[in-house]
Amino acid sequence: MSSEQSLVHSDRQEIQDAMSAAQVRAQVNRIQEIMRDVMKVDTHFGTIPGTPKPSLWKAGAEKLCMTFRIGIENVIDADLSTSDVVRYRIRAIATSQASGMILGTAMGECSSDEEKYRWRKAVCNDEFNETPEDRRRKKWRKGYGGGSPSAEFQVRTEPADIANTVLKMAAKRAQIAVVLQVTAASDIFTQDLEDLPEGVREQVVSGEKPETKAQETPNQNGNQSRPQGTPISEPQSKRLYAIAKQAGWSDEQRRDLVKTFGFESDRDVTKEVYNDVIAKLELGPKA
Amino acid sequence: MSAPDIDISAWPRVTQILQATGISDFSKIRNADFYLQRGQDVHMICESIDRGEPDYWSDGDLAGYAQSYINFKTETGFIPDLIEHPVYHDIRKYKGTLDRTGRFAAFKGPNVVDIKSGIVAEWTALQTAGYTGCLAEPETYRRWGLSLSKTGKYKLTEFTNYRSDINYFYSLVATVHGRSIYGKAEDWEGE
Repeated sequence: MSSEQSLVHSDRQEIQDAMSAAQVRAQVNRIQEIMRDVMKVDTHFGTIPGTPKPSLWKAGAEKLCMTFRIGIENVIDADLSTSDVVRYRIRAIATSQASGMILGTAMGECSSDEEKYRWRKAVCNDEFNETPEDRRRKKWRKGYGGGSPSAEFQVRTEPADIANTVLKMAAKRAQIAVVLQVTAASDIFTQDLEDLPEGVREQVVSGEKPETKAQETPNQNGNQSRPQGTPISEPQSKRLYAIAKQAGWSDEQRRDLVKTFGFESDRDVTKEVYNDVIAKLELGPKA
Repeated sequence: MSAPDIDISAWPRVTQILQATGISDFSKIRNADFYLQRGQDVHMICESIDRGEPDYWSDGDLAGYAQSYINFKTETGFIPDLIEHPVYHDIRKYKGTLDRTGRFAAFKGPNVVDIKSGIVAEWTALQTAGYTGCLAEPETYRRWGLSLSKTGKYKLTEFTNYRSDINYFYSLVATVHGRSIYGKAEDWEGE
């Protein structure tokens, strides 16, 4: 076989191997099904306030790996540690458990210099006073619900004490990244925003402007704004799904109905309109 | 009970009356929002059980509470009549939503049951009296606090002194209305 023929064959093979639109839809549906039926909010994924999409957590990534039979191997890509800092870069390699084929790789990094690892609360005033000035600080925190700010006395952590935590965290980040990548689930979940320090997370969140995306879907009144209100609880979400299923709504029909109320998904439905959505669902799709 | 012809939107609710007069105080409960949400979810599940909605609770965190309610119904033969039913008192001018009225297998006569996903506090006696006072022939009702737990067990507490409880409750109603007439204004609308 000439090299030209080989190239043509390779192109054809890639086209044959490419997923059809139906297969892509099926994969997305599968992930959403897993989210709904198997995963638990705040255990497998969770939504950081102000973010448009849920964040996938390690337990959720493991569920997706099990579903799609993906094996993950974590390799230390670089040990960037110094005498005062523990820092690892991990490469996660995803392979198909069925074929052994490599599906993708992703990197994750963690350092003991990160805000949440670098400092800890001083055990007592004496510990704070006896700690050298360059290894202690007074940290101000915003007050909850508009309350007055409060200060906390902190001292530096010993990097060795958290070396294992840092290594595990780097591996976790790499694992979640590779799962999102190989399952093409980045449009459903966002990366692990919960790992970001509060201040940085707020900047990232505000930079993403979640409202803009929501405004693309007009609600039933023709307004472009996303309905404001308190999101429904997990049991309420499950009830919505169960009632829809019993009344004969397909997943797609249910999503379309929810969109007419101005929501992207079931979980976005607010308590204020919950009963209206349920009333519509109970009537059935043909009403 | 049909929809009232009068405007009751500004009337205080039974639970608001108990809170406004300091009888029920949730301010010192840590994670009060969590317990409030859990209570609402448990109520919703109990209502779904009574209305025969498809099971969405058995694999959730509140499955124990659901089983507790099912056990209560099975073991006492309780058959609900009114479920999460809005009531109002047109003379005393207050309103509320009672959890259940119904009948037990073991004895005749109607009952008012208030469901709790925690302990049944003393003030539940006043709460159930408030709801019962909105019903016709209130003194024929027996009143109960039903405590559900995540272990599947339940506990029924009966409140036997309706006259005493309703008199105390009416005094609280008067206090709340009195504050709006003679003292600090309370706006209950929309709550």
